[in-house]
Amino acid sequence: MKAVRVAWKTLREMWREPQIFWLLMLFPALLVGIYYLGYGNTDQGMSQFLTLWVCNRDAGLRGGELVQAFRGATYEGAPLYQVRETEDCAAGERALLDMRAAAMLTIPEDFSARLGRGEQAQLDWQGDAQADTYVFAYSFAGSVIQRFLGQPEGAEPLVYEFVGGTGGLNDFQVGVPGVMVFGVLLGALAVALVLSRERVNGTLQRLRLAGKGAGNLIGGLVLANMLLGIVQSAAAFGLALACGFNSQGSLWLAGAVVAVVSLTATGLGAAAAAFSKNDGEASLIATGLFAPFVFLSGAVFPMPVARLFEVGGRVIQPYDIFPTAHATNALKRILIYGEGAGAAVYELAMLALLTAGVLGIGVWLYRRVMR
Amino acid sequence: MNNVVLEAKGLNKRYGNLTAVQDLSMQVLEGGVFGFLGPNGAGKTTSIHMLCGLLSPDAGEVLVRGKRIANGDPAVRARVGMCPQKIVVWERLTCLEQLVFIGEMYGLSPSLARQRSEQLLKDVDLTERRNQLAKTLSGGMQRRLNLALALVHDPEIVVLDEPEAGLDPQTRIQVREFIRSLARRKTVVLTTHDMEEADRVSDRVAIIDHGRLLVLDTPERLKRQVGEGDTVEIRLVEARADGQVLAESFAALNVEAGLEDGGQIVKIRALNAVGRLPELLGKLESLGVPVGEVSIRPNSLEDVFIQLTGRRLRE
Repeated sequence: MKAVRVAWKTLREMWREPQIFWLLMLFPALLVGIYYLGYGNTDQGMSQFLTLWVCNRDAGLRGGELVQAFRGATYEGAPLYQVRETEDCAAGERALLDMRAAAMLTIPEDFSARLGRGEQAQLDWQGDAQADTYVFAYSFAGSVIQRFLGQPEGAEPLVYEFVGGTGGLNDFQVGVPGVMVFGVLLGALAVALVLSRERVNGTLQRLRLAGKGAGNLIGGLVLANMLLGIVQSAAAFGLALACGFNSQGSLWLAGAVVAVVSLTATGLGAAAAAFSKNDGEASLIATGLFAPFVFLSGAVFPMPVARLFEVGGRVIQPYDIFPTAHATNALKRILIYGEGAGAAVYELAMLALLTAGVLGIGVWLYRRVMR
Repeated sequence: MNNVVLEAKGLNKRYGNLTAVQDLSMQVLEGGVFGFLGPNGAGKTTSIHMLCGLLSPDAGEVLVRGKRIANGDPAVRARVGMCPQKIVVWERLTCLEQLVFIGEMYGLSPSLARQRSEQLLKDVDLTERRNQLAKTLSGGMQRRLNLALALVHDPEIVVLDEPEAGLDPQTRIQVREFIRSLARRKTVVLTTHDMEEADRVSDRVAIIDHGRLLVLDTPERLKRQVGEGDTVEIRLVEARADGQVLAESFAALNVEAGLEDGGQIVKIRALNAVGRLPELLGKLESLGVPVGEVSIRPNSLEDVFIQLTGRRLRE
């Protein structure tokens, strides 16, 4: 009951700091909005990312026909490539270096002649092998070329299959889970500020005199932050749905995962506050803790596979120490693959366990400095 | 009246190599004001933090009505209310909200917490500011709110840490009056480095220095220890170094005398100093000592402190 009073008091105080309150509340939704602007425009399909520069030197007609084949290639009913034809091959190479192109195709002078003689013709395909756009452009190109060379209908050399129907999702859809984790975890900064102020201003001492110390304070903050997390995720999911996000699974379950992430944020905030003497330090230290929890979790970008060991057929990686990694995976399973709690039981269990650990360490550190 | 409400037994506290409090034993009796005096850094705040149960002593114990306060029953701890020297309020809560909140933290029902809060706001003259955020109050108002926060759970013992520090004269009088009215209902422990403040309001006084308790008695008895009567301070035209000669000369007149302030001031303690002033000044004249300004005042707790430590409180 005391924790409820502390939670209510904390929410009141936060409400009276409107800039921080609204930024905190709307940050996940803001990220969703930004992500939508960047990746959510689906009318142009993949072509909005896959710009293909073509330098056609072919003396015959087949080169032009190949260019048309690339122009006409579609995926899920939308254009696959945005083709830019140029006679200046150097300009195409500059576009690659400036990251304005996913790939560049150079068609040789003797392309038509060789095909006419039934010989092999060599196409020059250039790009940055580390870039996602190049990998996509290259993957789809094989199919286009095979079809151009006259493969029978339905006998394409490669058939693309996607997990849980993810082939129909654009980057916006795929990115929403990570964005949610990112946005909600940012609450760690607000928690660090609140707890640091209670400690530095001496109000925590008042609570201790009343026999209600750091534990009650954090208990109240846990409640307040969970409530904020639920509102944050409702706002963010609402906006995502309005932007065309198509959840494959239960939004309620996803909301529960986000609420648990808010507990991780509380733990991180408490740990940061334990080492802070003012607002500036609290923000800085909380950011320092927040960064690895977000950027090494796969929430923002995929992490390379780094096998540590294997347990029961499951590969354990260094990132698995972060509850946010399991939250991101759980959200992907629920929102993208459309799986339920049963399929995500490992992620959910690890998320709960590691969050309890982070929260426990945060509370312990905060209480420790009060002795 | 002589019931012991708060007792410290052999308290010790160290911070690394610094001994903050050493073997502090004292009893606070029920009712009235207990003045806890000492210069800054003497160990007053550390001592009262232990008395309130905020800090665990390295050795010794604190008893409230015979029950240990440290790690004990919260009900024992709740018998003590503390008003810290620093203003400790929740800036983004209104006066009423924070009083009700802390009342509920002490276990009061919401209705009782509200009732007491309203009464306290009236007592400290903040009723009109009840719905104002604490951060928008003036310094004096915040200090009164700070005081009210220590009282909302109606503690038996109220510890006030330097309650008059930083107050303007008008607020200082208000706070002093409030402390007096409080002392009629509760036991007040008042820490201060202001000897005059302590002398004016305290029924009993403990003087602490370098973490050790020097004396504990009523202000009157302590001042009598210094010497009956008044203190005459005579500022000399030129500083002198023959304090011993002066002391011996004045001893013949049956008064205590000595040099202070680098030989600039002759300090004499005597009964009926006003009546004997011509005699005292005549003695100086006979010793060939040119006299500047002369002042007479009753003995004070400052004099007690000087006698005990050999230095002024603010040195």
